[in-house]
Amino acid sequence: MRWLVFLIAALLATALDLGLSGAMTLRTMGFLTPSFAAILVAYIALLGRADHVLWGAWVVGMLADLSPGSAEGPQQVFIIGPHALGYVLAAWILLTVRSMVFRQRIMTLCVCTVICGSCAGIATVVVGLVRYWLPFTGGAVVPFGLGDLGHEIGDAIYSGLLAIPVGWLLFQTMPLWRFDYGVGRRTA
Amino acid sequence: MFRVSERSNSTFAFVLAATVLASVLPTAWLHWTRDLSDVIRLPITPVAHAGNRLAGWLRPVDSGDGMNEADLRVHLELLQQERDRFQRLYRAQRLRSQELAAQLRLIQDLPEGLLRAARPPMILPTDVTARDPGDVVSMVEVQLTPDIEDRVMVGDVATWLNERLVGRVAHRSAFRVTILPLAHPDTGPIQGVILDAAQESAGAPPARVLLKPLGDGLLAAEVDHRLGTSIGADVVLADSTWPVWAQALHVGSVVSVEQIDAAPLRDLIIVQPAVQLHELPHVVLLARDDEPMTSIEEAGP
Repeated sequence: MRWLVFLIAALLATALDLGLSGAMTLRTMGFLTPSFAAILVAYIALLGRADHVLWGAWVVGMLADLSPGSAEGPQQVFIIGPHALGYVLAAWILLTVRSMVFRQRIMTLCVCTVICGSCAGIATVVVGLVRYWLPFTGGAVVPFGLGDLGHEIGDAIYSGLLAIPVGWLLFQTMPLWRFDYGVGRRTA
Repeated sequence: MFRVSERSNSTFAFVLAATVLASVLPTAWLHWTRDLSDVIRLPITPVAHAGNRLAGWLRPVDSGDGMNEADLRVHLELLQQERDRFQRLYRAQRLRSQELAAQLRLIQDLPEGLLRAARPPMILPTDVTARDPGDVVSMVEVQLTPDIEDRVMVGDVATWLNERLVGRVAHRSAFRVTILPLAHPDTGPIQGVILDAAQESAGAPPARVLLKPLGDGLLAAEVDHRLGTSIGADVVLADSTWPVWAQALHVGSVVSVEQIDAAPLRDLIIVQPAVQLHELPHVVLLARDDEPMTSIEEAGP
């Protein structure tokens, strides 16, 4: 995988999540919003080399956690972990199952995007809960609870739908990425 | 199972462990993350800003509510008439307050200028550059123009269309200005006044309420059941801890009124802001104007 291409794509995905995704927010359905970053993580997890995928997922997660507008609490600090750990967990799951799926199918990317978004949601809730339980962390700054988890999974499903057009675009750019993913199940 | 090289594996395991540790660090130890974020925002913010403008253009919040051009023209004429009427009322009230201030100065032997009216605020329109569109109480960051860099301070207010209060400046640095939404739990309780047409016609004074953010974009308050608050009543700011020029700005509308079982003489009302900060592509900041008044301004209209 070409790291320069990946970095540009990661920065672009993070920026789109902070801006353009607002045009796609479902305002009457609890402000469900798709994530371009989750699609990118699913895409590299399907096609990249294992170690590149894990590092890539961590980088995208760190960008999401440190992105402008995601500061939490009265002290305006950024909590590292919810996305950085969630995307790595998703990458690990996808690396484990990807040999059993058709990697270059858009539908596969859609399902994998839902997994990525859900993992990020689960990690967010877990980090929120742990921070709430631990006495020294400074209180509940990361949202947690069933409602928040449901919202995150809703976002993940919506991201899976967005993966249809975005995935098609990403598959068109495959030569730029120079993936060397070895032997896997591929479509003709 | 997938395979990774041993060296990469051990380095990644170390980084992952560090990430887990960072995720549970006390918030007081996480100030360095702001510097990291400031570095990351350099390449992200221009694209995010363009994306926000595009999103605002594609899905405007202030669309004409389905009105056609003729309706809009009639609406505009009505608004102009209202503006003229309220300008007259404002001037009359200002003259009256100046007269009363002069009398009070005379009676209490106060020095000149002590009871001078507050200067109107600086009006600084700016674009939103970063937000979390999925989080209804997401903090937003706005474009740092030279005017905003010089004038805006923590505690200044953010409005939508100069009328609706949407948030307050929570953080300001050389790189960013962050605005906390009105309904964010960290904003704290807000004092307001319910403007209910039914109560006004009965001659009752407007009910004061203490609005508490619920964390889901709504605010809750308790009011006297006998006032008979109705759904749709407007709530405006009346809180001395907010700047003078923010008073009477529209906070939201009452969307639910329920009698409290445990205290039947009280109603629990839920107030919903007309617009949420995270939906907006741009806001207007009202900042303190510290420049000295000229003699013409002091004289008033």
